[in-house]
Amino acid sequence: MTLGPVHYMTLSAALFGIGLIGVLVRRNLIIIFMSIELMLNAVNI
Amino acid sequence: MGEAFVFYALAAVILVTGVLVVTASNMVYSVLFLVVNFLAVGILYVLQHAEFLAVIQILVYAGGIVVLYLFVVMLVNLRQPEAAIDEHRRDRLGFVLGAAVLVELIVIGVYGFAGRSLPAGGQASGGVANINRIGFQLYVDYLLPFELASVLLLVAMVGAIILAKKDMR
Repeated sequence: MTLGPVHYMTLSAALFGIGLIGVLVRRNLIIIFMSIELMLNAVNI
Repeated sequence: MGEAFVFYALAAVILVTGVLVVTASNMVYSVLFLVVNFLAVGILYVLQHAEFLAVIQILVYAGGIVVLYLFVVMLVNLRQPEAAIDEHRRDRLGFVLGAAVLVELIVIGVYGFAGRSLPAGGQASGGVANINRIGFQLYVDYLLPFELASVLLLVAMVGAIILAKKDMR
């Protein structure tokens, strides 16, 4: 199976979702900021 | 085939460390997992032949932002566990919503693009041509968003200075 843009977009979407869960669930401000960084990174991919 | 193997290994590292960043109880561990995450993303850029982007990723994220977080975590030392309890937060609802969006995005990623062929992303040749293309993309194709972002950052900086200096008027 060759690597296409779909692979990268799926990974990006998964990482974005993890960050989103982090923002919504954790109460710690710093953790929320780090989750936001995760989401930004996901968009970068 | 080797490329695919590297991609899946990196994807596993990225996702596992991402989950660990969110779930780690100790904030310092969380930051360290974040470093691993950023480094894996950097390697992913190398895999995509975007070496310049990889170097910038390592410099800015793994270098700058993580050091900033470590300083904040170690200096401010928010020891109260999970801050104050806020009655109005809906943790369960938040988790369900976040999980729903996650599943939705993955389903779209797997099935939504199945029939279509996306425009094959710029597999730029390495070296100087790579930086060249990034420069053209930023300053020619996407000039207006770039300048808007810079103005936004300037406004944020001025606002931060004003907030910090408020009591010194």
